[in-house]
Amino acid sequence: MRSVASSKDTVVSFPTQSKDQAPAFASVEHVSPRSASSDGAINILIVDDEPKNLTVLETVLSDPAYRLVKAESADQALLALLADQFALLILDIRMPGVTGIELAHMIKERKKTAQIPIIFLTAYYNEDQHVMEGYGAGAVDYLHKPVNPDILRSKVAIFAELYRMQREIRESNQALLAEVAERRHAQEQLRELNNTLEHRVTERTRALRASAALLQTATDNASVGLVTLDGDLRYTFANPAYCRIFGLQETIVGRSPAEALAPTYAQQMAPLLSRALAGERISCELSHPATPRPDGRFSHYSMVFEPERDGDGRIVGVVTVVFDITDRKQSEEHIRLLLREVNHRSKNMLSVVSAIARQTKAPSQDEFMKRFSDRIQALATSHDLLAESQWQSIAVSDLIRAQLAHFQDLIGRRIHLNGPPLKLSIGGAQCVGMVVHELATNAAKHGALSNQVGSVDITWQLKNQVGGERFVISWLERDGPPVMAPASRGYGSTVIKGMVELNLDGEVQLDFRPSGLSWCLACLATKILEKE
Amino acid sequence: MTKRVLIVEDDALLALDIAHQLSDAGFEVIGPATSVAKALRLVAESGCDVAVLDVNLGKETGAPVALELRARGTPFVVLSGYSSEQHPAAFHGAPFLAKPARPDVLVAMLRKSIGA
Repeated sequence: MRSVASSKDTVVSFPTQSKDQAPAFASVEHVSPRSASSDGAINILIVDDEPKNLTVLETVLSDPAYRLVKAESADQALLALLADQFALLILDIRMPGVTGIELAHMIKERKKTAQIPIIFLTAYYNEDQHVMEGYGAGAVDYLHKPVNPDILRSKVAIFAELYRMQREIRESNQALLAEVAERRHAQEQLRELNNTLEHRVTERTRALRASAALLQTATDNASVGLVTLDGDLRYTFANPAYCRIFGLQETIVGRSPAEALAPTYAQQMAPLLSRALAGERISCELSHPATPRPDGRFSHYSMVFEPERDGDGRIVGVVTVVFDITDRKQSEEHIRLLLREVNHRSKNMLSVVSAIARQTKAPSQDEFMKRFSDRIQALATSHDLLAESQWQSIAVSDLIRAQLAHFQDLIGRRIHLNGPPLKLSIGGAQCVGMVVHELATNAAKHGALSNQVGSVDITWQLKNQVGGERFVISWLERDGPPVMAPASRGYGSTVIKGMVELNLDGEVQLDFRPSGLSWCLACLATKILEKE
Repeated sequence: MTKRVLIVEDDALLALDIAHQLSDAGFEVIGPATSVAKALRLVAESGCDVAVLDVNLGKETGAPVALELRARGTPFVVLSGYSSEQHPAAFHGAPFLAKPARPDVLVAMLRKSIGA
């Protein structure tokens, strides 16, 4: 039945629900691409080339739960489908250009839109061909125009519900997948953590084993004896060095010192162990004949007894350390002997100085002091030289030059040194040094060095002779003033003849020739030269 | 009668010094000997009435000489740079002078040993 149509009246006669009149030309509502569920409303696309029909549908389906998008052509519909996701499409079949069925085909071909349910609206009643076509196109339902609003609404509601359920399932699924992904990630992390932990444990174990091995090696190979005893003073650990020091053949772990060691040691150790167990740290020395050294002497040991404490500081046993101090003791003994020697030599030196003082003859006190201090100086010079060479030996030429220090500008001009590089022993050096000093002093006072033209030739050499190699050294003066033999034998002559002969088991020829004094010493090379 | 004194001392200068002192004091000096070997040879060859004996003769001690002199009943005076506790047993009991010894003291001790 047709009612009187105004320009805004709809063609379809059914009571409208909404007072709102849709505009005559419906355009695609422009929306920013969004999922259907951003505000919970679901999108429904309605396509009809008649705007009036669109308005009617819009009115019928007006619901806060639905967001209705209108399109008047296939093109507009496709555009709309690009922009949003739709729960349902309501298509008018009879459209100019691309029909609803053709549109449906297109929609079904696009993967994104293939699953959207389609309700075809057709004005043609009983057109089975269309029905078949429509179902072939994948439609879900057909409705004949004029559409019964209630039926339309209830069908739409069903599809809406379907869509919502699907959406919920999808969302649920996604949430589930996300949770699964999270779980998997957490598991991965756990596995990694486990691996790291295991790796660390392996590393630590290895480090621990290595340090335990190192400790084992150290205590096994140490020359320091190390033992531990428990609260009952029984051995809980003994390293090889300890067993070696005390000559122990079998293991002593579990036994007491009284059972394990020789009685003398056990008896001496017992009170010390008790004191250590009571908290005292004791150190003592032990001279030990049980392990004779290759040279047959005793070994000396230092022993330290200490309480062993647990992590809380309670005493749980005793630790004993034994180490060899034989070398130290020998050094101490050596130093003691050296000091004794130094004392002895000092006494000797004082005696020599005393002898020099006694034998230095001089007409006056001043002259005495001069000669005496000269001779002491000669002694000191020899000493200095020897000390510089670390009391090993001195080269002949070095010694002579040192004793001729006062005349050093004459060396090469009026004093000539000639001989191979030979080294004198300490005794030989002291002897020759004093002689050279006396000869030089004498030459300067009365001999070749007392005028402007005299000269001295000092020559030394090694001579191979029956009985062994001999060292020969001579002092020959020339062009000095006329020589006279000295009236009395004083210190000087004692030194250059008697002392030298006695000291070196040699022969001295001393000639006061008119042309110049001549002095010559010959002795076994072994007596005067450094020991190889 | 001139008494003969054997001097056993390894430092030649000291030995000669003692020789001079004792000679000046009227003794006849035998030696000096600077080693055990030399000393024992002189004892065997010449003999002596008294001896001045150093404990330390370089690397050896004068102990063998002391023993030989004791065996012969010859008195001797020990002259040493060491203290008496450090002397080998052979020297114990003999009169001892520490170096450096004053000549007059040494002479007196020698005369006393001979007289005893």
